[in-house]
Amino acid sequence: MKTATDRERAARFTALYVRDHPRVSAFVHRRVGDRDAAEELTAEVFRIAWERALGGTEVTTGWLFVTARNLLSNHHRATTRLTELHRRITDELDRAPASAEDSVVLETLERLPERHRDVLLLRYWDGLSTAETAEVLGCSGPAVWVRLHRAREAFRDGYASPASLSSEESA
Amino acid sequence: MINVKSLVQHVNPVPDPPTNGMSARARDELAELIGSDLVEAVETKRRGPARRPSRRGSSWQPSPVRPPRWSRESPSSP
Repeated sequence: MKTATDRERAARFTALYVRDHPRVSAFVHRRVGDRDAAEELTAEVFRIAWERALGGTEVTTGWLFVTARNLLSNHHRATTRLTELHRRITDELDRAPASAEDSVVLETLERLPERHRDVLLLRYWDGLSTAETAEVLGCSGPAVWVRLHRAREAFRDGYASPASLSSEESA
Repeated sequence: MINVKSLVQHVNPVPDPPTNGMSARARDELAELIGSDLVEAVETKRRGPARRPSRRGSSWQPSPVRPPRWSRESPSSP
């Protein structure tokens, strides 16, 4: 017998699921380069989310991305290069391969320090809001803007003169 | 000035996650979690009550265009 509380909880969870499942799935897909693996991992994120909801704890969009990120780091310890991920995904989705110009952008992102690459990808690939990005990165909203500003500067420097990033990496 | 946002967005390998509802697999997974009866109930609620069919039905025909009033009135001679 389902109570009104069960139905309300299910309605809230369904709304979250309908809105965020495609976003979380794409977030994972971009990082594992395989749609089936992404769907498996996304299912795991929502299974944990439902357990949390059953326990009476609110599940937010930011929490879903944090959980997805944690699962990714547990399951995919070996870092795959962005250029390789891009090639695998475009092959899988039958999209046009990266142009020479695209490869320069991907390689610039690849060479950025992780703290810069993370914030750029969360904002510009995953479309996370400032609040969601802050939750994923574990910082405040204003800190996201500062990090984003620095990441854009670092990207510009690296894009214009690739050697600048190599020297930052070795520093 | 390099537009970083535009350059980075351009190389997004999965640029357009589907927004037109759930895939069959995603729906099955949701049903497995919360129960298919609850998914059904929630979806029915989201869709709203069934709409009443139009009274005109499928045999609706546009009304004939009535000519302007002035043209229907016979010219009256003073």
